[in-house]
Amino acid sequence: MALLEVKDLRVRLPVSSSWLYAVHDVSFRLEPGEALGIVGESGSGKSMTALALMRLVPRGAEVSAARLQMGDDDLLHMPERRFADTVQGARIAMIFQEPMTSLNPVYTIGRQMTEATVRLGRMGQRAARKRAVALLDRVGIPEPEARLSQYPHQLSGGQRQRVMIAMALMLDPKLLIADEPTTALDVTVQAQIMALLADLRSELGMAMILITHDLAVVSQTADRVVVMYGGEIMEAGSAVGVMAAPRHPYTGALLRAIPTIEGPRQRLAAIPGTFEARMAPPTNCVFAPRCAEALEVCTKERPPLQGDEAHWARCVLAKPEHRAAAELKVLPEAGPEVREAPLMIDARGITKTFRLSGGMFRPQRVIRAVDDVTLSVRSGETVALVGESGSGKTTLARVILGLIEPSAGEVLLQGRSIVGMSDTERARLVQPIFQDPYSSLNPRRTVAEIIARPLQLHGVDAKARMLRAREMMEVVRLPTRLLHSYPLHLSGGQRQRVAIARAMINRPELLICDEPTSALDVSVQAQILNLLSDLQSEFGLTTLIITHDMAVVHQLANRVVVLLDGKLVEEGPAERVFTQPQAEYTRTLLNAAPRFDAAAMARAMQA
Amino acid sequence: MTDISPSHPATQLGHEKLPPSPGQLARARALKHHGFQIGAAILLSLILVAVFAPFLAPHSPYAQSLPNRLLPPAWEEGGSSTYPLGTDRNGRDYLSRLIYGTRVSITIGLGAATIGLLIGVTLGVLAGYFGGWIDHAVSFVLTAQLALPGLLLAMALVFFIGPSVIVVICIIGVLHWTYFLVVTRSATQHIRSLDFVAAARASGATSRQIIWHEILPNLASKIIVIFTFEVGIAILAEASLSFLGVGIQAPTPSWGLMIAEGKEAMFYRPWLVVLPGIFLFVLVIGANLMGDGVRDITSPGEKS
Repeated sequence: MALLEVKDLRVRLPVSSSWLYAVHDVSFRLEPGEALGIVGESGSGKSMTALALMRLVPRGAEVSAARLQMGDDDLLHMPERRFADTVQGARIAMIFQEPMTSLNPVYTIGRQMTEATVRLGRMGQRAARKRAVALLDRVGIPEPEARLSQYPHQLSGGQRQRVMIAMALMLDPKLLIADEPTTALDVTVQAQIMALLADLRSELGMAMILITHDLAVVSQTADRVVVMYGGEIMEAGSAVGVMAAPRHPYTGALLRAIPTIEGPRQRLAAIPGTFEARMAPPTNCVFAPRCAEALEVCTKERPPLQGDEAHWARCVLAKPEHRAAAELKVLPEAGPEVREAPLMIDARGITKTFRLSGGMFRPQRVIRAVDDVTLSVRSGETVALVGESGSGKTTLARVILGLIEPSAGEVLLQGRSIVGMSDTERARLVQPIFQDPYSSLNPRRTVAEIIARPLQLHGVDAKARMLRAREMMEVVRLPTRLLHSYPLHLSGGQRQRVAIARAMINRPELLICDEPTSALDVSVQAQILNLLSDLQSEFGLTTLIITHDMAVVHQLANRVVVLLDGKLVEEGPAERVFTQPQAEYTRTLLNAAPRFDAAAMARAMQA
Repeated sequence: MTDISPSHPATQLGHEKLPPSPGQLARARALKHHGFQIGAAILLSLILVAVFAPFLAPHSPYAQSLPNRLLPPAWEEGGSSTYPLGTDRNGRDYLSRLIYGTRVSITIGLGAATIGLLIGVTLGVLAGYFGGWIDHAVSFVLTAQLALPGLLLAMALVFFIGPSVIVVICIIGVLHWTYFLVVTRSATQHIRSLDFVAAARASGATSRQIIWHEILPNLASKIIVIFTFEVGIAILAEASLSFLGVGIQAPTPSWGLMIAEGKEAMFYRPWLVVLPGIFLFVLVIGANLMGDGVRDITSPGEKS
């Protein structure tokens, strides 16, 4: 018998005066011990599906289903009290994305771990503490005994996620739901957590639902995969089957949109457009507006389910033609280092220390965010600055931008010290693009005002500003009808295009991109990465890209600089760093990067 | 929507309909918010009463009629329709005095709240934006201000400087900026840390340009909300000062002063105290309802 059976699950959420259809007719079965990956981008309904299983949907949401069965129990009609005592946490446990906020900061780890067990009468206080220590030890927390009396702020992000996992295992659940368990963590920590989850699953014979946007992570962890888009399942089947031979155009497009860290650099096949939330139940194919292979019938009728139990897709095409794949082109080799070109950035011995005032009675602490880093970038180069959180990469970028003064060292741009430059001079030379498109645009200004603001600061008159803003919107491929809308109405990808247009409007020579795509969905990331490489070749830009994602580095950079704890640990041409990394840390980073290898998957399927 | 102004470029060019701007969304919410509408209606009508007091008042607020001292309102025994709400102990028409009292209350409410806004927002934005020693200094001033017994200090100041409407406005204003400061300081600290401020600095904007163009527009709705609450607080502060005899001086009609004058006859002519009390209550509740409403309308989802 299946551990969990879900049939025609629907969730709709109230928004102002209408309904948002978040999940529509989602069905799947989960066998005991099986790992199911639910893959989708933001708005696909993947998280809402999990929340509906746990009865954790937002207030006012409506959940319905034809069947929601766990073993012999009907979860759909189970009384609230019984559900809380016998299902939530007990048989289905869940871990969330944000380890920083999923633990209560005012209670000790020990109290939070043992509370539910003791309350449900499963164990006495002493036995529960013993189990907590054993589990903390199992998930790799050093000195577990001592940790029980610590508070969440005393642990790092990775440790907190381990504590969350240990806590989820306290009641010995039959099913663990992990909602983007590693998205908020550093790459090296990500790999460790995923390995831990896989080990625990085989050890405890527990089933798992892994919700993620990352196809590479799914291909490494899950037995079966469900691909969701717009609240519906587009394709479902064995992980190997779906990855190696996708049947739905969306899955295919998603796979081609992922940058890889191996093989020749290809232009990414971005999925055009953005996802729009649905305010009515679907009457046609929800992916049709963005589908390269859409037929007329797709916009009129519900697509049929094709295939068998083992692998099916919701599409009129029995097999996608991958029309978009034919248009893929291999990008020219990044080429050797640009040795002769003049220096664009010449940063010498940059050190930046921050003083943390410890308050009235505690000593000050000094943090060396950047420690004696020397970095040079030649004109026309694309250099990737790689490192994890706390490596000092963002601080270094802000020093080069002139936003922060270094404690020691000096930055020369085109041979001139930025200290001697006026703000406007510097602005014409170098412009930033930030990570979070939601905080990089002023919510009270229209798109036109935001894009043209740098011109205004340089004293260009209103009419010319408007003209240039329109021009720039075309350059970054934003529809000009958005000229007078506010950031509120734009998607993440559109916002990032606005930020790029603002950075480019004064035709700077140097662009500093701080994690330009890490807040975006895979399909949109591909659009933005493509746009950035277009801009580079079109305007002969020099680019410094700050990232933790080795695949993005491989896609864009021709030279790589690796930072660890504020120190430069490796520097060299991209080609060499990827094939023969010198520093131990670079090797760790490369090994930790989740890989997605279609060829290997195809071989696995034939075997 | 019809409220896209004719100068809007999109309508000139006949483009397709734009999604609503934040301002338009707020207006749409205002049409549904009853608290806001009631509050706005109260405030607006009392402002009109204040402006048109000479036309509305049946008598001069200063005209004494000694034979008609302490008349009860018209509906009570012994009342006369010439003096609908009766007279005070000097025989002045109570309705006229209440109507003119609106002027004092509203002038002082708006004036003092404006002074508080200017002081509080300036200090708050500077402290939040620049941080460092400016922030320390402002925080010290704030702590000192919060430790002062406000009413006592106001009494002392009025006593030394001498009472007049202007003096009362200034003193109440100078004593009521802390709320503006606390809110704008923390909001500015937050906004300053956002990337669009960094982007503006990278575009060569000066601190002054950033404060005006990037930060203040994002504070506007918060400031308006506090302003409406502070109007209510300032009106009550004036009434308290006048009641204690260090605010508005007789014979100028002020509700607080009228309550003070009426309290001697409170036990046999209770309406002398009750009527100004009702006016005060209605005006302040109008201001508070409007403040609540503005908060709900401008920042949906931030309801406490």
